[in-house]
Amino acid sequence: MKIKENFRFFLKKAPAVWLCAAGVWLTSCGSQPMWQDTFYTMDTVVTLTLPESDANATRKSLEALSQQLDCYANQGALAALNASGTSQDADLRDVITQTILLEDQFGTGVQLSSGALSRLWGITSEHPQVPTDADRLAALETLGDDRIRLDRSGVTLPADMQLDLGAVAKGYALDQTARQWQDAGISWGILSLRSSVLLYGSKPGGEDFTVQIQDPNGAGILGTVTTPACFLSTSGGYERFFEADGMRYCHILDLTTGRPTETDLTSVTVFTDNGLKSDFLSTLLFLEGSEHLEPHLHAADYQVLAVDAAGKIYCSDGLQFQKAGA
Amino acid sequence: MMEQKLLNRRDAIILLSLAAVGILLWLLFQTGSREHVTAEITVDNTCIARYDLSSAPKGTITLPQAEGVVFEISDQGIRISKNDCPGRQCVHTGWISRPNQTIVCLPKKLMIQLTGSEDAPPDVVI
Repeated sequence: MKIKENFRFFLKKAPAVWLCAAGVWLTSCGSQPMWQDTFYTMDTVVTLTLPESDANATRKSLEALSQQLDCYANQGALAALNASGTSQDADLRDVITQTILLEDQFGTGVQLSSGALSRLWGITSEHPQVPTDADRLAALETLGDDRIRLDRSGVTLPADMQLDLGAVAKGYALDQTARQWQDAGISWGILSLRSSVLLYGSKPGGEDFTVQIQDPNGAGILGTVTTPACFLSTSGGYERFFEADGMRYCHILDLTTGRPTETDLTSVTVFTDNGLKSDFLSTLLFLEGSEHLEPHLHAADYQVLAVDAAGKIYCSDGLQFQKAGA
Repeated sequence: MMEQKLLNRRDAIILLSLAAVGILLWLLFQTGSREHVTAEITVDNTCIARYDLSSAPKGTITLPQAEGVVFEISDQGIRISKNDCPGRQCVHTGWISRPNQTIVCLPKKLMIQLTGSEDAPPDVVI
């Protein structure tokens, strides 16, 4: 009798419970206001997606940071450092310190002191050119991030050295943005700098983010990665390059030869919990080529998705990757 | 004797209403996930922006590559709400919301095209 009473009580109350649940469910699926903004800074097209209209603050700080860290800009902290050999800028010091820590761990395939070499080739500038062998070898001599002097007050460069933060600046900008969003209490957001992306927080439905990976060997897509919040960066030779005398030159320079890389990989995407690290590693792994890829596929603190010129896909164990058309 | 049936009339009504709510929810869910309409904005055949109309920002949008044009997205779809072009044919087209509908601004070589797909578009392309 008691059990039956309870059962009837449950039935009586059930519709009310169900209606409440339906109400909550409907509101959660309803059109939550979301803002998307597209603009040009950090030398790329930026797409910003946020649930609240806080896009302006993010845009402003990105534009400011872009000015500070661009090696081709005429003003800003990096331009001043390259001109005078010394700087007290906190961001600059922070980027350099973090990058050198990564070099200690992963090697010096990617170095910030490649400024003279980058400038010589000018691949990402408006006037790229193939330098003479003598100029190239002279620029190689200026390399060596271990010669950068860091102290509490700032950064000092040897007289011959020029910095280029191209390999890590976007990733650092993502880190700064994530910190800002955390301070502002933003629940989730996406910041795409095209080759580097911040996936922040958790989406309203709680489902993971979906990332479509472009196929560097064709016009289509390689597949889709499903991932919780993270930072990701892609390095590849397919979007930025220049052609001279029938040769196609990649924008990423091999610091052992001083020439554009001749890696057998066409694209490397790295997923991890830090923007600068994802940027640094995607460039490094791309330069190292498929023969050195294997240990990276089993790393505990980052995941990799790479493809070579033959179309072979390399994918980390922990990555949820669905190949296109599969 | 107070012998009761296992299911009296009131219980039956409650059970039926439960089932009705269930079916209603199921139907809503079906329509919610049926199709994603994507709006692609092109200028001179180059895509400058793409929005999933079900999840895109509600409100007005301006794009640096389409000067003088104000786009608007709402529950009714997408439209060009302001444009400084001659004629303003595009503004008069009003809202579009179904796959294959288009809004064209000939003077600016600008077009909004809607496409539908079963799958949700990705959050980001890299």
